[in-house]
Amino acid sequence: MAAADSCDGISTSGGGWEKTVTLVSSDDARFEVREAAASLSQTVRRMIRAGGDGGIPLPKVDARTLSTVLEYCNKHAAVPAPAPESSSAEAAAVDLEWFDKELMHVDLATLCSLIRAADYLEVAGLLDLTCKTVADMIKSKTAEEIRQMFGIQNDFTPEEEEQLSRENAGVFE
Amino acid sequence: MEQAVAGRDWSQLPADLVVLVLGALEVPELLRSAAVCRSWRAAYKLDPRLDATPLFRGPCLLYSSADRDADVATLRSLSESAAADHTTSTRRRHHVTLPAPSFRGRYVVGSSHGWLITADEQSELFLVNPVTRAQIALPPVKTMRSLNLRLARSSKALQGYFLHYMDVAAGCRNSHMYDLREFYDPNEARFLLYRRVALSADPSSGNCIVLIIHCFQEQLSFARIGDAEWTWIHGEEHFCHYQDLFYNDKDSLFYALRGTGEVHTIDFSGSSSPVVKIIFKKVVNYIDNYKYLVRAPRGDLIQVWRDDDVVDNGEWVTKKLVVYKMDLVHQKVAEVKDLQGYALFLGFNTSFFLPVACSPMLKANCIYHTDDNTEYIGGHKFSRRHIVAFSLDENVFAEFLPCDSRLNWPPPIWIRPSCEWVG
Repeated sequence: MAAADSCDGISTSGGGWEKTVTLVSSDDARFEVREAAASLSQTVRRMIRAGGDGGIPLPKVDARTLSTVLEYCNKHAAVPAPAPESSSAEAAAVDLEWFDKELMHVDLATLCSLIRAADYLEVAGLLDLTCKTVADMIKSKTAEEIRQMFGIQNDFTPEEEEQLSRENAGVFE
Repeated sequence: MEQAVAGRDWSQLPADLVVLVLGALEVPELLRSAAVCRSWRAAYKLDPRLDATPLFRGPCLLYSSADRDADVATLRSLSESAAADHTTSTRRRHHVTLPAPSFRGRYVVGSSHGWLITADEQSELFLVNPVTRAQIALPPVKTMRSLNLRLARSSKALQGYFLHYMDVAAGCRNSHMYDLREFYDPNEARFLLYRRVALSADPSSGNCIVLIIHCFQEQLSFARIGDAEWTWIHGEEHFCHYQDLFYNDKDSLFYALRGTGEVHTIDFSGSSSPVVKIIFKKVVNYIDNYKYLVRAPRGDLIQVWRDDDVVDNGEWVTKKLVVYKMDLVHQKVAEVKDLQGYALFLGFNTSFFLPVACSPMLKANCIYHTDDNTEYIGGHKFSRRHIVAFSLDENVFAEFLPCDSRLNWPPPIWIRPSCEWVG
């Protein structure tokens, strides 16, 4: 990422007049982002409004996760809003869907970090996307398969487990 | 870098994020995920938007929703109040993606023991449980005695079915009738073949008899789960013109009602063919309405007579519902005006009573009815399906559960969800 050319976290850059902001990850990596893209995060939007020096600190998100979040924001903020039901709107929707699908080709640890980051940064679209991705992975799996996939220990007592299987036995077959 | 490390342990995902993940799940996965570990279960139990238990507390309306895919069935639980419909406090609509064939291609012909009975576009019958997604194919339609396939001469592709008039006393095809058979497209035959269907038990138990009323002349055929073919019930000339049926757990008998008000029991307990007995004599000589048969909470047998009317736009609507209690000793019916704290649910489903108290949406002395006029629906798949509450006190119909996204096809139906696994 290019070093931020800013003194108060907000600057104009390049030939265009588009505003950018600088975001700082927990491990001190700096990301210069268009304000329109960064504003998909409600958390960042509030901090832009509050103002401040030297970029916006995001102490709960590491560089690797933040770069993926920003990839999402840049793509989704770049899409103009063409007339609905036009062919270009349809093409843009297909392109975006394809992009989202590709972005979700990550391992489970990354996916978990992304859910946490999307929640902390309040990027509603990304939170929805990551949760749906997990939901799709859970589909047609048994409770034990879900535990194995996510590395979760079964911490129910045998009595509790018996109670659970009595409650909804058919669902576990 | 704390995030990436913590990310490896999903049981440590904060409860509010677990809720978000679980919220994106359909009922079968939701119930399984709630049994993964304590923290996930706690998250599931704490958030009323997730809790699926209301589904099992009361009845649901099952239908296809315009805002979902063609293979998704929507369950609208009546356990929550109507007011809650506009808040986010609880989830009243659950969506379940059903296995193929596509839900919107199916004709919903019944619900019993928490299962749907559906006929696909080739008129083949499937049982499907909308809460577990379990599906059981019933014997092929070609094994019904009254039916023949018509196949293309060269390709042998299915073109349709010939339905034959059957002589129920002689136990063979009718040779006296002028019109011996009629031809139907594969997707049309289902409207004649499946007038009513009832199950003797939860079919996942493996021990379940499926009894159907089919055309022509509304006769009976049955199959046990796992059977290769349907068996036609014949022997006496009055084994026909049935309109409704149900299975009584208390005496292990099917009860079937004829259009005249006559009631038969069908006993499958013997090793040979089922034994049919007349237990109630006919009430009328001519069949000019549709009749339902249901067992009341205290054990009485109840008939409900439905009269239809054609309104200005050509639509058929229910005009009148009258409830009769059957007096088996004196072989008489007497009209009932008081349902004694119960609501009655009628439609394609096996009819049932539920205490009014089980749902804040139910009113005393009301019949909740979904359109189930098989003759009309067959020719008007996409015309309006009414869902009404009929007040016995005021003798008026009121629209019930209005919903913009509810489609008219497949026909909406009452169901009491169940995920029991017996045996």
